[in-house]
Amino acid sequence: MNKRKSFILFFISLFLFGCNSKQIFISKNYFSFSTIFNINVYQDVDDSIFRKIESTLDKYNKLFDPFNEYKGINNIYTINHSKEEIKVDDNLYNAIKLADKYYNSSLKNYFNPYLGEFTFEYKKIYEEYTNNKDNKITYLDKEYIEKSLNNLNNFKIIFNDLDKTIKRDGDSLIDLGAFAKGYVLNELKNFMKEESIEYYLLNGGSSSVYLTTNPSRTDNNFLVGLRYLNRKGIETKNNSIGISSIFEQLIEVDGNKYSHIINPLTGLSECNYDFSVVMHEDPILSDILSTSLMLIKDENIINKIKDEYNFKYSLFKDKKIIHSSNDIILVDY
Amino acid sequence: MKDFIKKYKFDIIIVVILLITSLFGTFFIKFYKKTNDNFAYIYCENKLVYKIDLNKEEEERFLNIDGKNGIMTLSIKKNEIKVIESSCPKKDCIKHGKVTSLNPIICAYNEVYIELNGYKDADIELG
Repeated sequence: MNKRKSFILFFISLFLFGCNSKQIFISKNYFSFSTIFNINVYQDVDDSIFRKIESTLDKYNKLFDPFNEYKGINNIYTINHSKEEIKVDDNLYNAIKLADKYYNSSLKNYFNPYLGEFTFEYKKIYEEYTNNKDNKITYLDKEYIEKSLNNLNNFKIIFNDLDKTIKRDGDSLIDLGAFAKGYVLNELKNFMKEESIEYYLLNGGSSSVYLTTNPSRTDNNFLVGLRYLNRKGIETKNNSIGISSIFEQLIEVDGNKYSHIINPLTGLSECNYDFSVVMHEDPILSDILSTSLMLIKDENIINKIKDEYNFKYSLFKDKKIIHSSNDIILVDY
Repeated sequence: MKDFIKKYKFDIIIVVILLITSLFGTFFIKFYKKTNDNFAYIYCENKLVYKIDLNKEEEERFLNIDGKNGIMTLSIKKNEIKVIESSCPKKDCIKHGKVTSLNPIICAYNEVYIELNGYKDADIELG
């Protein structure tokens, strides 16, 4: 073998074993909805894309905000503080209408966008609890729950498609918390499609994620780790994953544990599981379903909803699978 | 076969050495480096403001981060970073303790986000 052949072999082996192809990877974090939205793009894109993403997040953060008003914007806060018809931006109108559509479906007993009287009160109690854990705090009292449940059962939203107005008919309050992150991820997904961006991952507060294809792996999957399961995860592509956990905003009073997930039928915080994971192409549904399934004990009801929406899921308690679809595979990493 | 080996003995040795060094290099990059990297990434108001190699830290030192609504003080020592003082009202970031790859710190009040990437093997972690 001459020198030339040796050099050729040397370079071939370098290509085979030594060189990693350089991937373009842009990662940006945005504070929105009181959490972090992490956007990873695995291809070269113009900086203006990120400015548009930031402005979309900012827009929905203000529109969905139930606690603050903004000059010149009619948002959830404005609607919740009025009994009149409120003219809203098309984006907010479409979002509330979609939430109402899911509420009036088979998910009615589990997903309710009008639970504000409960969730806002829970938030107050949680803040009081975190500020001083030694203080004796009282969870929602029976009288409050009964009054708010009564409000909830007699509540509806009156939509005017022509004028894009929304009117609260009743005393309940709108809270899009169980739906907002998924909805925004879906808006960002549509935006990325319009901009012909193929390789990206959208992470909404580490509880909702939408991902396309991973250019650095031959199978194009992403590995999505689940912290609750400690180094177990799911491999997937062109999909969204939503998770829900009782450990987020957990309150312990007199040995009883309360989570932020409220059962719309009882007004109580009573989850059947510790943790849920749901996979669906639509980030709105994976977000809604991950919370809703926490409230459903009966596997037959879960399967009925699964037949309608075609999703994959696993529900856990004490780190053990309680119910799961057969098509979800957990991998170690 | 014997004649072939005898004739090209030197070339075979070169090829084997090259393969071994390349393989060793690959394993070093893929495994050794990954398990030893332990970088803390500190973002403030959507911008990466510090990238700290926690392996290289020796004595404990303190770092002030100028957050959106006030100062946040971090304690940094070998393989450990945590918030010890913060202007935020709830002080959740202090109660959080040290940052791990599974538990980043998010302070919405000051818009500060601290994460460790060194031991992360998944593309993303939820929870």
